[in-house]
Amino acid sequence: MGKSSIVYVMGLSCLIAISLRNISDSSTSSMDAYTNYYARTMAHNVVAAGANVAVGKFLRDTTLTGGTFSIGGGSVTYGFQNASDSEVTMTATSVLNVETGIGADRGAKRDTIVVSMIRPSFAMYGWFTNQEINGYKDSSGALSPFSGAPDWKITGDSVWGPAHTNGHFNLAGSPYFHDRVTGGSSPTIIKFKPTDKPVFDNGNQWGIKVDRPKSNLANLQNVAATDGILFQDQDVGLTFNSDGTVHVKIPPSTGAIQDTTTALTSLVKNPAKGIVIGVKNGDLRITGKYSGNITLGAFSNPSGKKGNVWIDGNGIVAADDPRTNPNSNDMLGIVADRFVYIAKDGSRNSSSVVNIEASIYSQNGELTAEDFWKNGKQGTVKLFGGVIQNTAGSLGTFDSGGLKTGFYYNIRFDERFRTRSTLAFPRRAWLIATWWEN
Amino acid sequence: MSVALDLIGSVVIASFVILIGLRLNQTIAGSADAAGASQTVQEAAVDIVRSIEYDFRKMGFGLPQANQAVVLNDSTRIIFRVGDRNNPGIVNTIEWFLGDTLKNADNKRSRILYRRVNGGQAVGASLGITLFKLRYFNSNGNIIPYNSTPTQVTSIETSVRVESLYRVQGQFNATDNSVGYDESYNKMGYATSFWQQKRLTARNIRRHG
Repeated sequence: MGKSSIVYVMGLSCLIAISLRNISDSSTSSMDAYTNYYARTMAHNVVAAGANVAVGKFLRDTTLTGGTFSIGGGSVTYGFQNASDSEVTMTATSVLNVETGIGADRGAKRDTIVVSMIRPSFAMYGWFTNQEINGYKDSSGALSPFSGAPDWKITGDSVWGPAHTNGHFNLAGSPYFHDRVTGGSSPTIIKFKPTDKPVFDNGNQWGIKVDRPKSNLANLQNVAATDGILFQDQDVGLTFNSDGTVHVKIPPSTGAIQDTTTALTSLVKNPAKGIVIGVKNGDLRITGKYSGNITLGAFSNPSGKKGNVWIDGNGIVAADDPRTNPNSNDMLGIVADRFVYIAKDGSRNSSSVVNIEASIYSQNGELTAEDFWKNGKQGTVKLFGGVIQNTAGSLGTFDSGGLKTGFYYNIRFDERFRTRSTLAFPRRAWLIATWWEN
Repeated sequence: MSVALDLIGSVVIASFVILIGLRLNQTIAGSADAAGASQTVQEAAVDIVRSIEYDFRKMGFGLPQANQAVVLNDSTRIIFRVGDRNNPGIVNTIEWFLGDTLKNADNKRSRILYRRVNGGQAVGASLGITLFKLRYFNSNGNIIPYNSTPTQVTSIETSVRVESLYRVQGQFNATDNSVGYDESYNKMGYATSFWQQKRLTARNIRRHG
């Protein structure tokens, strides 16, 4: 009996041991699934953190070409490819040595992130200001009665294209924003009735500041000097013709120094890159119908009185109208160190129309109409493009009966500027355009 | 006499041993079944989560504006856009959504999680998913109501629960709030794995301007 009992017990113990081992294996495998996931997640987190660090390094030193560093128990190798002054791609790869997993999953875990960074053109904005206040100054620096007053967007106003202010928007009633709206702080809102609220068709985000580096203008001036043409110490008048020529008058009033009509491609040094015409220590007066991809720049003198662009006559439009042909290659960027004025013109009346097809950039001023509060009804300004300015320029004054003096203001964003711009048009600081994770 | 006692004694001991063996067999079989179910559930959960993360991390990639990424933000359905990395300019629309409960499954809560690309055929597998819940947040961290203002989504919270398709011992039974080990089948619970990603913020939908 004793021997057989021992055999029974031993046999049973063997069966139990085998079964328990199988159960233990199942538990181990189920834990393997999670530890393997954990290790992969760790490798991913390491490369995500590493990519952030590498982007930060690049923003501090844009000549960086690559490197390796350790972080979070792993190592990250990164490199920059296809670098230009406005676009660069960074690839970061992590290696995390964790001996987990089974079969092919065992061993070092790797992950990769590819980041594309760009310096987008300011032309991507339909509306941009540093502050939503009127900042009018005339060419001598004298203020208007409205200087310093807040700019309000009210019911009936609509803004097309991305909009941004580094200050805060002033919104009364239910103004309409077609594209995404960002601001340095949340808007000041006034309700005329309880149901009033601004309409943000593509969302909004507050707490965002966008710097406008002054180096942009130095770069444009440099490009004008090396690849385009840079006039100096004199005001220049340019009347564009749809056949690709331009009538140059120096000074604009008399043409005493220069009064010639030239092909734009002959006027600049390197027309293959694009047309850049600049005036250093002078003002630009422009009008007509342009053809081609053109950037105009006016740069101030040490006294800060020059560097204005004046738009004369009926405005300045493209030969191949982008309103009717979205594929038009005629694009204009107007850049002023100081103000962009719509010059007063005694021949205008309430039904006059000034058409401008351009993206307008004013570093220290705004797009405004000369003496807009003095001249009676001047008609309507139709801007097809965008305006990027320091302060929110006004074109007219209004009362309960509508326009009192100056112009009605009609702005439509030119969608071509969302992804393209003219040569050397001011650009924003580097930012992340796309971020690819596995 | 002694032979008779030996026989009786060995029969009694053998009976005990056989009873113990049967009992052990039952327990071990149940444990093995539970461990297998747990392994299956956890592997299914990891597969589902990795698929979700793979897609969600690319949300908004290659789009000119981040706010164009999310198209629809429902509680159990999301549609978002992803640019094709190998074909710049091509944008794909990805949809994840939870199907109806499986009528013939033992686990009446189990459903199929579907993935659809560019409006084509939805693809899913019966991996025992019983919960797929999404919550959306704007840049201020506030919850965005379902089916409204998807353009303001900057982060997403994802919850996934996977359960075994059949009951196993040693699992919590929600019906009577008990853990059944040695009970009838209906008193047992389902092996469960829960995963939640708090505020997944795909980098492409956080960028601004």
